[in-house]
Amino acid sequence: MKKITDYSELSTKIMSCLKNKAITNFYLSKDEILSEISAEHIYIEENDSSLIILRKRETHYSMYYYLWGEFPDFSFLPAMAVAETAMREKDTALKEADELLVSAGFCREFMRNRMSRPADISNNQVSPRIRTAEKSDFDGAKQLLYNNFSSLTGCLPSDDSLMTAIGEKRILLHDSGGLLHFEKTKTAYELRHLCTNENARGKGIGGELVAAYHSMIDKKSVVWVRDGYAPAEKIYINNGYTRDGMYSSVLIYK
Amino acid sequence: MKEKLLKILTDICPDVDFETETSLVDDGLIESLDIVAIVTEIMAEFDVEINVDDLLPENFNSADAILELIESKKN
Repeated sequence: MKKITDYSELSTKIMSCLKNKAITNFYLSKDEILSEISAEHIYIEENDSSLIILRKRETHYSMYYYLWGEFPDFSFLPAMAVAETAMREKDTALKEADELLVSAGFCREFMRNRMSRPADISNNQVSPRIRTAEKSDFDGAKQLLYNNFSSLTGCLPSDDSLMTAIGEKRILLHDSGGLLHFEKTKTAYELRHLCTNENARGKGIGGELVAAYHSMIDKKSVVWVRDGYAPAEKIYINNGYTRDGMYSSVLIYK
Repeated sequence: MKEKLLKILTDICPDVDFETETSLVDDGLIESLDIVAIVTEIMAEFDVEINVDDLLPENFNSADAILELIESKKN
């Protein structure tokens, strides 16, 4: 594997892949790529018919692919590489690539469904038990996230990302022990994490956090929900979300 | 050139009205993976080079915006 230190080198390779009509699951923006390169987190492996991009995480690598011919031998992969492919029913090539990855040795851990809620300008009543996190909440927020989400598949924020989210008031805390983390893109908001302490479940805390989040945003909101996880899906359905047809397959190479 | 572009766009996303829509990305009518497919096809059809720097929502919010991108790359 080769570490990438130069954005233009990676950009050129990506363009070459697209010229080859490659199938890909890589949609990072230039800013995200630059950030990862400066953190020395980006590695690649390439051959005549593929470009594999690996993004180093604390416990594993996130794997992105450009594939346009014969599948590579994935034995070069370091232990624990996670590949997630978003697709819709009509995206036949992506579905085939996902199945071929399974044939090549990846294990499908689970699927996620994307749910969306249109922009809502109504004023939701916010529980007084909810506040935005402050820097002093960093350790508690990190602990709550790591207690509730897998370090491999939970898309957990890095320490820097979590601190930035706190600074930008994108982490909400419930005083009974709950957390909501969201991101803002140019076109929508994304609810990234929603969790409560184990002993605080079933008390409506998740719903209160979601309502508070909705009172803060003025655009469409999306959330990716693990397929078959009814308690989470119920909270979102009760708050105006519906499945929008986009889903993802989460694969792990062990 | 616009006709060729509209055909490409309609082949990729047949349910979208590319002739009139002006907020394709902002309104979620096309996704990131559609943009990749669009870029792949327009590079081949119009012999231009689109790179990661160009993958901005404003460049893909309408057929006219995409056409401007293609023309800027040709020049």
